Amino acid sequence: MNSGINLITKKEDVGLKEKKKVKIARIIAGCALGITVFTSIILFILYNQLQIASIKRDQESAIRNMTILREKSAKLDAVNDRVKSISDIVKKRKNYIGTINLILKQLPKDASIATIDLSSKAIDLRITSSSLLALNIFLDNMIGLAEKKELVSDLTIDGLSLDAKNNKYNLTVSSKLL
Amino acid sequence: MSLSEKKVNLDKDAFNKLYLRYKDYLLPIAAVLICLILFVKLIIPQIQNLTDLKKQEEKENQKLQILKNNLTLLYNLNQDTLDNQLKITSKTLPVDKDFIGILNGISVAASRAKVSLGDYGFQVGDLTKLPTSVKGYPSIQLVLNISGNLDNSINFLKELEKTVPISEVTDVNLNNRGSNLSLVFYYKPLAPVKLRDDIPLIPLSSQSINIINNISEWNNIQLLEEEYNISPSSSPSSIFRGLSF
Repeated sequence: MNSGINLITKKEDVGLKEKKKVKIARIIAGCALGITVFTSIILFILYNQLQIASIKRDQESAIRNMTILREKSAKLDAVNDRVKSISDIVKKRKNYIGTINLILKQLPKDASIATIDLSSKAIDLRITSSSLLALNIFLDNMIGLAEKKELVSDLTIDGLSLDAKNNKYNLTVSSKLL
Repeated sequence: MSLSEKKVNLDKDAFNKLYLRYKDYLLPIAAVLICLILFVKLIIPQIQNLTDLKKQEEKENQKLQILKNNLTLLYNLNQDTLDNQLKITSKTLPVDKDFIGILNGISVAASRAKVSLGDYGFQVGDLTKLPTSVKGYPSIQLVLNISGNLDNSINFLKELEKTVPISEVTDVNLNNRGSNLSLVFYYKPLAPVKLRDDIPLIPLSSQSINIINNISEWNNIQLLEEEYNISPSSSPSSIFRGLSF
């Protein structure tokens, strides 16, 4: 038997191709419709899942409850503000007692402080003692502080005098505070 | 037959031929076109709108969460504790020029340090002008003379540090007969109440509670609390009663 004999005419071949094209066009249209419907359904579901209205209702209810607690809220705010301010002031305050105590530590036993004049930037001292050696020790100690950059940055002797009546030396020094 | 009629017939034929040739494609093409129009005109804007709504929902949810947290915080706050904390902090840093508090503080510190008070003078400043800013700390200056030896004067400074209203020594002139001090007593007017529901309330931190506990052990706090018990209308918490929010 001859298998090379073509039983389908050329016209029928063209018709088949045409039907295939139509089929493809219909499939594309179906897909487009399907995608549109699917996307619309997904959008519908997602919109339904939005809870803005219920959130707003909850917010309103919470705000109504908050109205009763406004005074408490204002008080809390005021306490927070005041504590912060107090803390700021305490941190900012100059530690004069610490400064005076440190100066007193530099004094040898046989010397005493007659006056302390202290401001935020400088300190003026008048030391009295019956011994010049004690005054010298005090000066050495103060110079040591200045060298270690502790408390004072410099030291100036403003005067040294003798109180003959009481047999005491008076030493006046001034320093810039760090 | 005219030439123009012939042309019309020719187009009609061509149209008929084209229609017959492509009529099976018309419906799919129309469907695709309608889908495209729907996509561009409806679905894409709806997707954009949905994204915006999602963002809005998230924002509103956060606001609700803040509100709920604020509510829980306020419900759990003990009214008496809060009132007491406000009393303590307002006595430490008064809302206005508290002359009585200052005199009380100085005399308590003096008696504890065993020094006697000499002359003192306030530098009050202009009484007609209200503090323009509540950011800084306005203060009242005071120059004070005390009689006592050096140790007692130092003790006075120590006592003054833990006495209310809060003060700061600006100048010290100490000697063995008496001392001359320059002090400032701070006060701070109440900041305007700005209560917004979408801002989270800050609870008192443990550090703040420590500060309040520390202040509550200062010299004259107990005395002032007794004063409040006698006259509750003068309590700082009464400041808030008249406020409208």
